[in-house]
Amino acid sequence: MDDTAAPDRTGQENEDARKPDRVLLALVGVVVLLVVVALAVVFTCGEPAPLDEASPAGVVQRYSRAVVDGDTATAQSYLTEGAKSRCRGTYTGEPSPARVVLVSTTERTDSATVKVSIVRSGQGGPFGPSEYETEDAFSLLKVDGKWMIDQPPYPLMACTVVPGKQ
Amino acid sequence: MSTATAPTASAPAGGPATLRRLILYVLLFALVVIAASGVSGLLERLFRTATTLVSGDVTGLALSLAFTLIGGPLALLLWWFVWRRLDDEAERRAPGWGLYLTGMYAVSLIIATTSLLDLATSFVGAQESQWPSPLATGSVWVAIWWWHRWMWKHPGKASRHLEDVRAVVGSVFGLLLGTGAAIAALSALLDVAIRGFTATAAFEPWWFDVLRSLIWAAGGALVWWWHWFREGGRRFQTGLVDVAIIGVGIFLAGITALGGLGVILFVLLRLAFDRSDPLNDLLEPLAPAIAAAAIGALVWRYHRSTSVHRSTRTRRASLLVTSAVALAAAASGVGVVVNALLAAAVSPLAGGATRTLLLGGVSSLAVGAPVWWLAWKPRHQPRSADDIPPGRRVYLVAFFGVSAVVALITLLVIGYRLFEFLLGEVTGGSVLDRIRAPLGLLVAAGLVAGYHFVLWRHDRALLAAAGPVRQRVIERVILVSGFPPAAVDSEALARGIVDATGAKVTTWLRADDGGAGLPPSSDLSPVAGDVIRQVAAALEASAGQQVLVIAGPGTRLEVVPLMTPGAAVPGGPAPGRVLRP
Repeated sequence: MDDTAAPDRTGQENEDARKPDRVLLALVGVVVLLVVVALAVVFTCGEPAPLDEASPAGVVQRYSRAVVDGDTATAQSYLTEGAKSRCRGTYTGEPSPARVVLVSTTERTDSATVKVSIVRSGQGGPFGPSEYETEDAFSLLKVDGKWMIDQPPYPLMACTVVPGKQ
Repeated sequence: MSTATAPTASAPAGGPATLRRLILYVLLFALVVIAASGVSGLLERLFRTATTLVSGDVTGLALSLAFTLIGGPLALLLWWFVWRRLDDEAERRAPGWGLYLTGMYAVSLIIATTSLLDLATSFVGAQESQWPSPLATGSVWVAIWWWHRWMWKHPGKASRHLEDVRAVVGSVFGLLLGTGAAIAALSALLDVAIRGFTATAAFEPWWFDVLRSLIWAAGGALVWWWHWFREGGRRFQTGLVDVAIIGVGIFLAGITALGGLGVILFVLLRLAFDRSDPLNDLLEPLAPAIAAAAIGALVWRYHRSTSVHRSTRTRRASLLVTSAVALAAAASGVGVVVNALLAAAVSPLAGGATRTLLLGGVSSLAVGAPVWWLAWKPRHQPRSADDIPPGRRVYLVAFFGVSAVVALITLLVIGYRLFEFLLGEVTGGSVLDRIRAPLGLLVAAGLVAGYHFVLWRHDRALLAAAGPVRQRVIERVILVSGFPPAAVDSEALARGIVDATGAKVTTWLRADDGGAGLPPSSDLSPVAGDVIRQVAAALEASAGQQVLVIAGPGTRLEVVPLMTPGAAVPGGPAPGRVLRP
């Protein structure tokens, strides 16, 4: 704007003119505080806390971490034989999963269902990266006293393709 | 701008005539398209005869023949009928004819340009056999384009009030095509420079891609240059040209440039602090971002300096739009920063990507905030009612309204997720993870809404303090110009009144020789600038929301406040004032 302040103003007008300035300062302060706190928190937080490997959520955590890191061999070690035979390669769709958050765990005697929210982030969007969130579920079975994944959600599918069995 | 030139001849009875024109022009449009499709099909077949060994496509040939032999003559017949009727002024002024001309001009220009550029690029690389189809389509549509251009510029049947439409359609299309292709060309070139030619080396030399995009960019630039300079698009001082400059040259180019800058900063920050992806993937968005920032900034800068030389209104609008784009970037950056802060508070099962998210938000904020500060000048806000420019209140209300809508939607999403958490068996962490994006947007929208609401209230207080003087805002001016067009341009006069008062101006030209009882005093031919100043001064003193201004011939100037029948006038009806009869 090409506005210039009028040279002569009364005290009342001066008082009025300061008002938006105070609001502006407060808003700039809030934004700067947010950025500083976010930088501090994000850059100091470590790896996700590991869950108990004997629980369904712990198995899902280790499997998901292996998938996100692209470690197919480790991921496969958490799958049941049935899951391995049904598996048809690795999910390669874009954007790839970047974050898996536990929603709920339902544990029964020999089976369990672990609901997760899968966040996939892409480069798109004119102002900053964009994220897509979907909710999906793992089906787990107890094999020899250990929880194994029988059906991983499609975006978290990862295995080497095995020859089809007749 | 809101100058409208009034019709100079009365149209025949509205309803049936409009319906007849609608049917006629829709039919003509369809027939021209059908005939063009038929002729280009036949031409393509002709071009292919040299290379075709066996032709068995009877269906395609039959269709092309039917389209050409039935559609063609019918199109010509209907066109002849329409063309003959265009001797009538009312027909030429009808919206149907203008819409038909604009539509067909735009369609033919787009198809002709894309086909010819397709033809030119088909010679780059090993695609020799691809030329017959674009050549056939291109030549037919170039002919149609030329034909409609000839009709548009025909001296006897010209639609003078539509001259700027043609220039705007062509220059906007050319600008979009040229800018997009130039970004693609520069991006392909930079990508090779930054990442090396890993992907394209296997199929064809890397520069084929660059060359193809360059050809498209040159074609787009030619179309833009033709319409903007040769056809005089930049000289039209009409609202449509202003809208095109603001909408494409400032708004779209601003988004492109700021988005590109944001991504450049994002990639650099990731290179420094977040190397979670392979280097090749990290660098992938860098080349398109640099290209978008460079070309977007070039286009934005050109239109910014063009808008400075236009009316005050255009200049103000271009500043407000720049400020709006930058504020949107900064606000979404704040939203993403809050989002990342909340994401860091949740311990996920696997993955993280929090750092990437935060760096994205920071880069968007770092690019948007300085541009907003420069365009909006938050330290130099109006301190008195006279400093408040007309568009500012609309801008404030628009931003307040948009951020209120965003806040409402995000609140609904947050409420839905919270109730889901309260009613079902969902872990607390997952709730926070799923509301972090809307919560970030809510914070950003809240900050934006709060700031603009305070400014809006401040402005309102200033206006109220300025008293009733400001309430007598003139909304509409009916200008009757009696000056000979050579002495004072009525459009320039109307524009001056718009700039001075902010009112809507309807221009009428006197059809008589200056009014009964008045001597044709052409001895004093005033300068447009003086007349505008006198009219503005007279309007300043005038009471009433609608005002009739009779200016000219000679030095005559009459300002008459108007009222609708039955409306109460405070202080009695103000008499019309003949300032200089």
